[in-house]
Amino acid sequence: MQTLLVYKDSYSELTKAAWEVLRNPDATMQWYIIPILLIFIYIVSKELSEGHVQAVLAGAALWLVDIWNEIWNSYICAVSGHAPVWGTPPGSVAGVGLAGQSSAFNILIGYNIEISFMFFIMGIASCLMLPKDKKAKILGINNRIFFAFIMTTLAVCVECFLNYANVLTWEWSFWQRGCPWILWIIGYLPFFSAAYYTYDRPTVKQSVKAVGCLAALVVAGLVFGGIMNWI
Amino acid sequence: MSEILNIMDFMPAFWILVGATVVDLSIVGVAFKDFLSKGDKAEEKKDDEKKD
Repeated sequence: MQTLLVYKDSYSELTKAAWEVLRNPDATMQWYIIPILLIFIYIVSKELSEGHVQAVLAGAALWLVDIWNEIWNSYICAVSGHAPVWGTPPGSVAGVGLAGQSSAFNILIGYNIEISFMFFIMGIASCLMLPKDKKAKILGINNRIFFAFIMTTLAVCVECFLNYANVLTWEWSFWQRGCPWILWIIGYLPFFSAAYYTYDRPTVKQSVKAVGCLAALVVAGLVFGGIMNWI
Repeated sequence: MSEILNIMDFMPAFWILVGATVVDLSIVGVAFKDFLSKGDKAEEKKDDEKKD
Protein backbone atom coordinates (compact mmCIF):
# COMPACT_ATOMS: atom_id res chain seq x y z
CA MET A 1 0.00 0.00 0.00
CA GLN A 2 1.31 3.45 -0.88
CA THR A 3 2.69 5.52 1.96
CA LEU A 4 1.99 9.19 1.37
CA LEU A 5 4.03 10.42 4.32
CA VAL A 6 7.48 11.09 2.93
CA TYR A 7 10.37 9.35 4.72
CA LYS A 8 12.97 11.70 6.20
CA ASP A 9 16.36 10.87 7.68
CA SER A 10 15.69 13.47 10.35
CA TYR A 11 12.86 11.39 11.83
CA SER A 12 13.44 10.07 15.34
CA GLU A 13 14.13 6.35 15.74
CA LEU A 14 10.60 5.72 17.00
CA THR A 15 9.12 7.64 14.07
CA LYS A 16 11.25 5.71 11.57
CA ALA A 17 9.99 2.47 13.10
CA ALA A 18 6.37 3.64 12.96
CA TRP A 19 6.86 4.78 9.35
CA GLU A 20 8.15 1.32 8.39
CA VAL A 21 4.83 -0.28 9.34
CA LEU A 22 2.59 2.57 8.17
CA ARG A 23 -0.24 1.11 6.05
CA ASN A 24 1.84 -2.01 5.58
CA PRO A 25 -0.55 -4.93 6.21
CA ASP A 26 1.93 -7.41 4.73
CA ALA A 27 4.11 -6.77 7.76
CA THR A 28 1.53 -6.26 10.48
CA MET A 29 -1.86 -7.86 9.80
CA GLN A 30 -3.05 -10.31 12.45
CA TRP A 31 -6.11 -12.52 12.75
CA TYR A 32 -7.40 -11.08 16.02
CA ILE A 33 -8.61 -7.94 14.26
CA ILE A 34 -11.33 -9.92 12.47
CA PRO A 35 -13.13 -10.96 15.70
CA ILE A 36 -12.78 -7.34 16.89
CA LEU A 37 -14.42 -6.21 13.65
CA LEU A 38 -17.27 -8.64 14.28
CA ILE A 39 -17.67 -7.45 17.88
CA PHE A 40 -17.84 -3.89 16.57
CA ILE A 41 -20.49 -4.87 14.00
CA TYR A 42 -22.44 -6.65 16.73
CA ILE A 43 -22.41 -3.60 19.01
CA VAL A 44 -23.53 -1.22 16.27
CA SER A 45 -26.21 -3.63 15.00
CA LYS A 46 -27.54 -4.22 18.50
CA GLU A 47 -27.75 -0.51 19.29
CA LEU A 48 -29.46 0.25 15.98
CA SER A 49 -31.93 -2.61 16.47
CA GLU A 50 -32.79 -1.18 19.90
CA GLY A 51 -33.41 2.22 18.38
CA HIS A 52 -30.30 3.92 19.76
CA VAL A 53 -29.50 5.58 16.45
CA GLN A 54 -28.22 8.76 18.06
CA ALA A 55 -25.86 6.81 20.32
CA VAL A 56 -24.31 5.23 17.22
CA LEU A 57 -24.09 8.64 15.55
CA ALA A 58 -22.44 9.97 18.72
CA GLY A 59 -19.92 7.14 18.42
CA ALA A 60 -19.25 8.26 14.86
CA ALA A 61 -18.82 11.85 16.06
CA LEU A 62 -16.23 10.89 18.68
CA TRP A 63 -14.47 8.66 16.15
CA LEU A 64 -14.32 11.51 13.59
CA VAL A 65 -12.94 14.06 16.07
CA ASP A 66 -10.22 11.55 16.91
CA ILE A 67 -9.41 11.11 13.22
CA TRP A 68 -9.16 14.90 12.93
CA ASN A 69 -6.60 14.86 15.76
CA GLU A 70 -4.76 11.98 14.12
CA ILE A 71 -4.57 13.95 10.87
CA TRP A 72 -2.97 17.02 12.42
CA ASN A 73 -0.68 14.72 14.39
CA SER A 74 0.57 13.39 11.03
CA TYR A 75 0.92 16.95 9.74
CA ILE A 76 3.16 17.83 12.70
CA CYS A 77 5.32 14.76 12.00
CA ALA A 78 5.73 15.68 8.34
CA VAL A 79 6.24 19.42 8.85
CA SER A 80 8.66 19.12 11.78
CA GLY A 81 10.57 16.30 10.08
CA HIS A 82 11.12 14.72 13.49
CA ALA A 83 8.15 13.10 15.23
CA PRO A 84 4.37 13.08 15.59
CA VAL A 85 2.94 14.35 18.87
CA TRP A 86 2.00 10.74 19.63
CA GLY A 87 3.22 7.66 17.80
CA THR A 88 2.37 3.96 17.65
CA PRO A 89 5.60 2.24 16.63
CA PRO A 90 6.01 -1.56 16.72
CA GLY A 91 6.25 -2.88 20.26
CA SER A 92 9.75 -4.27 19.98
CA VAL A 93 11.12 -0.90 18.85
CA ALA A 94 9.24 1.09 21.49
CA GLY A 95 10.84 -1.02 24.19
CA VAL A 96 7.86 -3.19 25.08
CA GLY A 97 9.92 -6.29 24.50
CA LEU A 98 7.45 -8.00 22.20
CA ALA A 99 8.82 -9.93 19.29
CA GLY A 100 5.81 -9.12 17.12
CA GLN A 101 3.89 -5.98 16.29
CA SER A 102 1.74 -3.89 18.62
CA SER A 103 -0.93 -3.30 16.00
CA ALA A 104 -2.56 -5.29 13.21
CA PHE A 105 -2.75 -2.24 10.96
CA ASN A 106 -1.28 1.26 11.28
CA ILE A 107 -3.58 3.71 9.51
CA LEU A 108 -1.68 6.92 10.27
CA ILE A 109 1.65 7.58 12.02
CA GLY A 110 -0.04 7.68 15.46
CA TYR A 111 -3.27 5.87 14.65
CA ASN A 112 -4.00 2.19 14.32
CA ILE A 113 -7.00 -0.02 13.67
CA GLU A 114 -7.37 -0.91 17.35
CA ILE A 115 -7.60 2.78 18.30
CA SER A 116 -10.17 3.25 15.55
CA PHE A 117 -12.53 0.54 16.84
CA MET A 118 -11.90 1.61 20.43
CA PHE A 119 -12.97 5.21 19.92
CA PHE A 120 -16.15 4.36 18.01
CA ILE A 121 -17.21 1.95 20.76
CA MET A 122 -16.18 4.43 23.46
CA GLY A 123 -18.44 7.07 21.87
CA ILE A 124 -21.43 4.73 21.96
CA ALA A 125 -20.73 3.49 25.50
CA SER A 126 -20.17 6.96 26.91
CA CYS A 127 -23.59 8.07 25.64
CA LEU A 128 -25.46 5.01 26.90
CA MET A 129 -24.32 5.81 30.44
CA LEU A 130 -25.73 9.36 30.34
CA PRO A 131 -28.85 10.25 32.36
CA LYS A 132 -31.97 10.47 30.19
CA ASP A 133 -32.64 14.02 31.32
CA LYS A 134 -30.07 16.10 29.49
CA LYS A 135 -30.83 19.08 31.72
CA ALA A 136 -30.23 17.24 35.01
CA LYS A 137 -27.41 18.48 37.18
CA ILE A 138 -24.80 16.51 39.09
CA LEU A 139 -23.02 18.39 41.89
CA GLY A 140 -24.52 21.57 40.46
CA ILE A 141 -23.07 20.99 36.98
CA ASN A 142 -24.99 20.05 33.83
CA ASN A 143 -24.65 16.28 33.63
CA ARG A 144 -23.27 16.37 30.06
CA ILE A 145 -20.42 18.62 31.16
CA PHE A 146 -19.94 16.53 34.30
CA PHE A 147 -19.68 13.30 32.30
CA ALA A 148 -17.45 14.92 29.67
CA PHE A 149 -15.04 15.92 32.46
CA ILE A 150 -15.14 12.49 34.12
CA MET A 151 -14.73 10.51 30.89
CA THR A 152 -11.96 12.83 29.69
CA THR A 153 -10.09 12.39 32.96
CA LEU A 154 -10.41 8.59 32.84
CA ALA A 155 -9.30 8.51 29.19
CA VAL A 156 -6.24 10.64 29.97
CA CYS A 157 -5.35 8.25 32.81
CA VAL A 158 -5.52 5.29 30.38
CA GLU A 159 -3.49 7.24 27.82
CA CYS A 160 -0.80 7.99 30.43
CA PHE A 161 -0.67 4.28 31.28
CA LEU A 162 -0.27 3.38 27.59
CA ASN A 163 2.60 5.84 27.37
CA TYR A 164 4.13 4.42 30.56
CA ALA A 165 3.86 0.96 28.97
CA ASN A 166 5.65 2.29 25.85
CA VAL A 167 2.93 1.34 23.37
CA LEU A 168 2.10 5.01 22.83
CA THR A 169 5.18 7.17 22.41
CA TRP A 170 5.41 10.90 23.18
CA GLU A 171 8.46 12.85 22.04
CA TRP A 172 7.41 16.50 22.41
CA SER A 173 7.94 18.40 25.67
CA PHE A 174 4.41 19.82 25.75
CA TRP A 175 2.84 16.37 25.42
CA GLN A 176 4.15 14.38 28.37
CA ARG A 177 2.80 12.69 31.48
CA GLY A 178 4.13 15.68 33.43
CA CYS A 179 1.64 18.04 31.76
CA PRO A 180 -1.51 15.97 31.15
CA TRP A 181 -3.78 19.02 31.06
CA ILE A 182 -2.97 19.55 27.35
CA LEU A 183 -4.07 16.00 26.59
CA TRP A 184 -7.16 16.72 28.68
CA ILE A 185 -8.11 19.89 26.78
CA ILE A 186 -7.30 19.06 23.15
CA GLY A 187 -6.80 15.32 23.37
CA TYR A 188 -10.07 14.17 24.87
CA LEU A 189 -12.49 16.93 25.90
CA PRO A 190 -13.45 17.66 22.24
CA PHE A 191 -14.18 13.94 21.74
CA PHE A 192 -16.80 13.66 24.46
CA SER A 193 -18.15 17.17 23.78
CA ALA A 194 -18.83 16.24 20.15
CA ALA A 195 -20.33 12.87 21.10
CA TYR A 196 -22.73 14.34 23.68
CA TYR A 197 -23.66 17.25 21.42
CA THR A 198 -24.50 14.82 18.60
CA TYR A 199 -26.40 12.52 20.98
CA ASP A 200 -28.55 15.38 22.30
CA ARG A 201 -29.71 16.80 18.97
CA PRO A 202 -33.51 17.04 18.99
CA THR A 203 -33.83 14.89 15.87
CA VAL A 204 -31.82 12.12 14.18
CA LYS A 205 -31.57 14.35 11.13
CA GLN A 206 -29.77 16.99 13.18
CA SER A 207 -27.43 14.36 14.62
CA VAL A 208 -26.63 13.22 11.08
CA LYS A 209 -25.95 16.85 10.20
CA ALA A 210 -23.49 17.20 13.11
CA VAL A 211 -21.68 14.01 12.05
CA GLY A 212 -21.68 15.27 8.45
CA CYS A 213 -19.92 18.50 9.47
CA LEU A 214 -17.22 16.51 11.29
CA ALA A 215 -16.88 14.11 8.34
CA ALA A 216 -16.38 17.09 6.01
CA LEU A 217 -13.59 18.37 8.28
CA VAL A 218 -11.92 14.96 8.25
CA VAL A 219 -12.24 14.49 4.48
CA ALA A 220 -10.79 17.98 3.89
CA GLY A 221 -7.91 17.16 6.24
CA LEU A 222 -7.22 13.85 4.51
CA VAL A 223 -7.37 15.33 1.01
CA PHE A 224 -5.10 18.23 1.94
CA GLY A 225 -2.72 15.90 3.78
CA GLY A 226 -2.71 13.53 0.83
CA ILE A 227 -1.90 16.29 -1.65
CA MET A 228 0.89 17.57 0.59
CA ASN A 229 2.22 14.03 1.35
CA TRP A 230 1.76 14.75 5.05
CA ILE A 231 -0.28 11.68 6.05
CA MET B 1 14.61 6.52 23.58
CA SER B 2 14.62 9.64 21.43
CA GLU B 3 15.36 13.09 22.81
CA ILE B 4 12.46 15.29 23.94
CA LEU B 5 11.63 17.89 21.29
CA ASN B 6 10.56 21.51 21.82
CA ILE B 7 7.74 22.66 19.54
CA MET B 8 9.06 26.25 19.60
CA ASP B 9 12.08 25.04 17.62
CA PHE B 10 9.75 24.03 14.79
CA MET B 11 7.55 27.04 14.06
CA PRO B 12 5.54 25.57 11.13
CA ALA B 13 4.64 22.60 13.36
CA PHE B 14 3.79 25.03 16.17
CA TRP B 15 1.33 26.89 13.95
CA ILE B 16 -0.30 23.63 12.89
CA LEU B 17 -0.72 22.85 16.58
CA VAL B 18 -2.25 26.28 17.18
CA GLY B 19 -4.69 25.82 14.27
CA ALA B 20 -5.65 22.33 15.45
CA THR B 21 -6.18 23.62 18.99
CA VAL B 22 -8.50 26.35 17.70
CA VAL B 23 -10.61 23.77 15.83
CA ASP B 24 -10.70 21.41 18.83
CA LEU B 25 -11.66 24.17 21.25
CA SER B 26 -14.33 25.39 18.82
CA ILE B 27 -15.90 21.92 18.98
CA VAL B 28 -15.87 22.12 22.79
CA GLY B 29 -17.26 25.66 22.68
CA VAL B 30 -20.19 24.76 20.41
CA ALA B 31 -21.08 21.74 22.53
CA PHE B 32 -20.75 23.47 25.90
CA LYS B 33 -22.78 26.45 24.72
CA ASP B 34 -25.53 24.01 23.89
CA PHE B 35 -25.27 22.20 27.24
CA LEU B 36 -25.23 25.43 29.21
CA SER B 37 -28.02 27.15 27.32
CA LYS B 38 -30.25 24.14 27.93
CA GLY B 39 -29.43 24.35 31.62
CA ASP B 40 -30.33 28.03 31.71
CA LYS B 41 -33.58 27.42 29.90
CA ALA B 42 -34.46 24.64 32.34
CA GLU B 43 -33.83 26.98 35.27
CA GLU B 44 -35.89 29.71 33.67
CA LYS B 45 -38.72 27.22 33.21
CA LYS B 46 -38.50 26.20 36.86
CA ASP B 47 -38.57 29.85 37.92
CA ASP B 48 -41.61 30.47 35.72
CA GLU B 49 -43.37 27.47 37.24
CA LYS B 50 -42.63 28.74 40.74
CA LYS B 51 -44.02 32.18 39.87
CA ASP B 52 -47.22 30.59 38.51
